Amino acid sequence: MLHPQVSFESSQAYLAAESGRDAVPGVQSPQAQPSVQDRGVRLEIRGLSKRYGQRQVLQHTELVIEPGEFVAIVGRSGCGKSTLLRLVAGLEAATQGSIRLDGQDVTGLREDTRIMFQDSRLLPWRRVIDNVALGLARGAHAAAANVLAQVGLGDRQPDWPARLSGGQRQRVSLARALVHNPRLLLLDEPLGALDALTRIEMHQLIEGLWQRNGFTALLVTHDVQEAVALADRVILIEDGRIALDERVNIARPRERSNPLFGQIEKKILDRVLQQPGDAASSTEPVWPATPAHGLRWAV
Amino acid sequence: MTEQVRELQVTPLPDAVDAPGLGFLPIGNVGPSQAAAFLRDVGQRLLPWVVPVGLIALWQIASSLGWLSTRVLPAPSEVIKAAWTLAASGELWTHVKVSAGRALAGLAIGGGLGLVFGLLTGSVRLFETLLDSTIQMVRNIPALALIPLVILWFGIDETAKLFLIAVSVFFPIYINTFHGIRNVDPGLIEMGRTYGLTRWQLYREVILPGALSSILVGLRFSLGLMWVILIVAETISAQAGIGYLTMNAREFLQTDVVLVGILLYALLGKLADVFARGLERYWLRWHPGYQSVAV
Repeated sequence: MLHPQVSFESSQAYLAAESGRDAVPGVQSPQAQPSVQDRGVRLEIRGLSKRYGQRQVLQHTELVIEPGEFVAIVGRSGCGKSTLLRLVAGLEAATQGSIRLDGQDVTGLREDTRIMFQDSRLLPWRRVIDNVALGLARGAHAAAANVLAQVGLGDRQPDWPARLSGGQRQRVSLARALVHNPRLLLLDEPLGALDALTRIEMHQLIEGLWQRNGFTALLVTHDVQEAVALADRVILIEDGRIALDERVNIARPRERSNPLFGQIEKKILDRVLQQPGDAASSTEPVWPATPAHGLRWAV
Repeated sequence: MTEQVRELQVTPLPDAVDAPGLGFLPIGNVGPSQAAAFLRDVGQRLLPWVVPVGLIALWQIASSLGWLSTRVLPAPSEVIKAAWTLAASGELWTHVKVSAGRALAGLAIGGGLGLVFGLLTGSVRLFETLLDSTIQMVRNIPALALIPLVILWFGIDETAKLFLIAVSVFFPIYINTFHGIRNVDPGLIEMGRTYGLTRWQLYREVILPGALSSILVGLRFSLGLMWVILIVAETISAQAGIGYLTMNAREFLQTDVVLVGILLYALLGKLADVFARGLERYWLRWHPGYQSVAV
């Protein structure tokens, strides 16, 4: 684990500078009315490390997310961003450190946390409405139908998931998450498999529902533009560490034509792109370490 | 086993082809090209029937002209006549009922056990370690190799037949249930857990439906095997049933009745397959591969 680029201290310093420049987080944004803000949960991650065998995936991660805040985590694939999300969801246990929701330690799956996965993970043998009502008490179909209407699929209740397009499936999946009224919504690259137009539609939908419901949202994505379009803060993870914490102070609804949008996107992207040389050199020794005659080719 | 696969795959073809064939007669302005296309379409649909119908016609002609001895092969019309006589006397139905009863009872016992054991070993790691290798070992013994042992154990009465059928249908259902459960998408199970499903709910909502298509494949294999074993078991000895009917007819040189028995087996096998496919079409109606156009 050679990692000369960003030390933990420097990212901390960066964080301090950032928050100094900023006023109290979340206050200027329009969704921060107190009544709605109560719905979101405060997420506090302290000294979080995760190790799979010899492989260190997350190292001493520190992150605080205010109630009702929308935070996006970006990074190259394999940087540990999905692991962070799974730890917050309680799907896996941390090697070290703590995750707290409103001061309570996360020890397992929680009722007020819901995940939206990259693949929609709808049950193909349940109709759309029954998928949304999954895990609800009997007779909760009215609530399910209501949320389904909110994501614009009110008329697709009796359909099989196989009949829906990819974007529609993700909307059903979003409805299924929201019907539980989560206080923390985790989004694990939910739009990664969708086409550009559908993604923009989904951005508007997610943003609207977040503003209306006031939950805290944590979005993992590899798309910097998506992160800037949706999030109050964009966090870059590199090699298991937080390398950048960028606040996005653009009024909503955000226009991609806004020059500030482009600036922030470029800043984050540039920072992401600093990495490839180092990434390549750090993985390079793996190849020559195996002598060619020791390899078995699959062709 | 491979023959079973082939049979299962081939049998659906004819009805898929014949039914909608003459359903849409072109009405209104029929151009010459349209008429030609229509004729070609009808030709395509009739083509698979040319050979079987031709063979039967040839058979009938050969019998009528005396080229074929009635002891070798009676004319198709004779076979139909024999079937009619047997049906009218009620004898046919008694035998069919006995045979079908045996087959279904064997299937219920063997298939039920296969399902239960498949569910156990598929879901609980302990049972897999405990049972699976033993079951896989026993599976390699052909059920028919057990006949001498079965006769020693149970004699030649009903129990022996039920045992043979149950043993042979156990394995296809067991194996397919086991693999069906193991192949349920782990992502769906994780989703179910995060959405707060209890263990039982997870089983009922996610794991069982996910394994169902595989279980039904096992059922279709079992149904094919069930008839084969039934025929052998009834041929060994029986006091009633289609096997008894044919063996009896053989003693009296009634080749036409023997043929009726053979055709009955074919018919019952086909019926069982149609039934299994009906189940698939109903239970897997969510699956794009099983959806009929009208849904």
